[in-house]
Amino acid sequence: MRVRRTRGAPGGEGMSRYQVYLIDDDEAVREAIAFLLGTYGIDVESFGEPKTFLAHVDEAKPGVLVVDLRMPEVSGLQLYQRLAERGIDWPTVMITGHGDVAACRRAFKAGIQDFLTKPVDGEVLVEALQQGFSSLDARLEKREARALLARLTEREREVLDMVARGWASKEVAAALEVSVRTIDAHRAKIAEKLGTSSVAEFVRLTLQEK
Amino acid sequence: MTKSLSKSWLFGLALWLAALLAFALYSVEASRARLAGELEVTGRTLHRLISQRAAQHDAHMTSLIALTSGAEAAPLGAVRQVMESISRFYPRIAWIALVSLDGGEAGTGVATGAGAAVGAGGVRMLVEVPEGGGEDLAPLRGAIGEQLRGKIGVHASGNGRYLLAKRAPAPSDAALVFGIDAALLLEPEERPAWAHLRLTLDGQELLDLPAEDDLGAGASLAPHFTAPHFEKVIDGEGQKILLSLDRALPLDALLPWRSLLGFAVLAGLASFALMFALRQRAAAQQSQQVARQAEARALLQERETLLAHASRVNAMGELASGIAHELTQPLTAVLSRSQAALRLAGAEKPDLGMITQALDVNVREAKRAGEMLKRMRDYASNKAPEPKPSALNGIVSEIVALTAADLERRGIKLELDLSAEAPEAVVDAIEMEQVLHNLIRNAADALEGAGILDARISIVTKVVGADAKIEVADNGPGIPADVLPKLFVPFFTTKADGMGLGLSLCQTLVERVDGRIEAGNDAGGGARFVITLPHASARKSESIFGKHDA
Repeated sequence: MRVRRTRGAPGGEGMSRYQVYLIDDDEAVREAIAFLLGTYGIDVESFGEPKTFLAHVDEAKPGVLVVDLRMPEVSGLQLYQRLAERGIDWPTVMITGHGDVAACRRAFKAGIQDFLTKPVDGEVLVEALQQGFSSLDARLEKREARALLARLTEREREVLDMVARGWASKEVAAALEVSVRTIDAHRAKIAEKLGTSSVAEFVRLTLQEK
Repeated sequence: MTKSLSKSWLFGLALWLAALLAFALYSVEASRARLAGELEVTGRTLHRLISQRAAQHDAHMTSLIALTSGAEAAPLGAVRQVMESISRFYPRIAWIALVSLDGGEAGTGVATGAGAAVGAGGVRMLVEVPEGGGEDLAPLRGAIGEQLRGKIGVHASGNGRYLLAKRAPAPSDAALVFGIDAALLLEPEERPAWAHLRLTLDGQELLDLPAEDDLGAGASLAPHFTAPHFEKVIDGEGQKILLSLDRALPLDALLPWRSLLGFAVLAGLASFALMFALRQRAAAQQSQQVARQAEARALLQERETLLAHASRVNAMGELASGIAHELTQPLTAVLSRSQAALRLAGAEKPDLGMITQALDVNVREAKRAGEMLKRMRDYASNKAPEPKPSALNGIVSEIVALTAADLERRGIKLELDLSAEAPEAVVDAIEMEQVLHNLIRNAADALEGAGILDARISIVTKVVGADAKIEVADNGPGIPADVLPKLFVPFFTTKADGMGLGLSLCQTLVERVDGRIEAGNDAGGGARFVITLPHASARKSESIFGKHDA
């Protein structure tokens, strides 16, 4: 029973659309943190060792990782790097019993989102997780935006970028040296592919893509 | 102990014998001196007595001569009366004769062989007392005739007698002769029974009286001691008679057996007392030495204990970060669960069941942290070592709990294989933990120094016959051959910052509890330390059942 799923408590805010994956070799620590996060309505899935998590992880179920830095065999940092190799770059909060500056620096360089020392204060942890969730939201939006924008042809993308800059169809047509009608046809196609004709939405999508 | 005992008794005996010999020699010499002194005194007394008596003879002769010669010479009958009275009063004057040397050469003093021959028959008896009690004076006619008038001549005779002769003044041709019985020169009570008394006249024996109570004559010590001897020429009688006294030195007289025996007993008692006193003193010294040694041992043990403690405290520092980690875990759990419980309590409808459950777990966690702290305190404690039957598996588990975090941090895997036979030994648990800690630390340092991937330390407990064993092995580079023999030597170290006391201390601590520690290398590389201790429960059952399997 290395994997344990903790449902958010009924009284909790139900704030999380995402899993929290907790990887720590100390069972007591795992249980206590999962229990605490449960009171915030955060779903926690606990793993006693990185190996199990690596075998279990599903790219389709993104979440925030809470990882103990020091574990036998595979350290928290190594786990993070192995996940990155597999294209999984979910927000990760490293927890450690050692306020080791060098380890902290290495962690941040590797792209760790937060670095907390044990014993971890609940509010600080939840705050870090919320940032993680936001970050996940942003990534999701970006991915959605990219997916939408990827549907456009090169010409349509050129037109979209100009429209998003606030240019009128006439100006776009002049710039591309085509007729206004042609531009309008492009815009209709774009609206159909992105599911919106709002210039504001276009602006949001292009910003999210970056 | 027994050897020195018999030795001391032999010494006592020798002492006793020496004292006895000294006493005997002293006794003999003292006795000899005493006997010789006695002889000397007796000799002088006898000499004086005989000399006095000789003087009397002289006086009697002079008065008798005076009586018989001169103008108013007494008639021979009166002379006889005087002679008889002298003879009666002085039995030693056995014969008194007045003779006439007529026909002999007189006055000229010239004696010739022809004269003597002529005078052979020329001795005419005038008066003699007792009648016929004398001898034929014819052979002495010449000798007497040659005497100066007024001088006494002494002449040998037979039968223990000697003759005194004195010529009457001129022109008389008479001569007075005394036959003296030498044996009567001394009264029987005057002569010492213990001395050999002799009187000689010109070397010719007059009297020879051997000692009457010549007890140990056969056992005389004459060869070793000069027997006391006295001799002196008697004054008077022509200075011709020699008195000699000899005394034999019988062993009995020299050695006073009774006092010797008494002395032997006393000396024996004294020797015994001396031996006893010496032995008492030796025993006291020995016990004092034993006490001193025990004191020295206690002091040494105290220092070793001090060193062991200092070394543990030092090691504690190295373990601190690992232990902090061990404490952080329960603390983290407790904090998180407490915050969760607080959140639950703050809800509109607090779930008391969950809160209680959380607090229960918290209590358990806090205790776990407490145990860790206790373990730490115990390990660093300065308690006097107290060996008692201890489960070796438990000791291994304790030290593993203290070191696990540190080893984990250093990427070293710890493998435990604890015997189901529950090995037990009479040890001080903390000191044995320290020994294991030293071995684990050495192994970890070796593994880290060699940069071994997949670094492992294995700890095995087992029971082998009557022994309980703990083995600590690693898969490091092993111990170099030149280091191996010096491994347990104090102050020998291969570490740059090492004191070289770790393994020497291990050895001390293990040997303190009758164990031993050996080091070697495994065939596959890596060092292996084996601690062998007497298996306590094996010992226990042995003593209970009084037998042991072969």
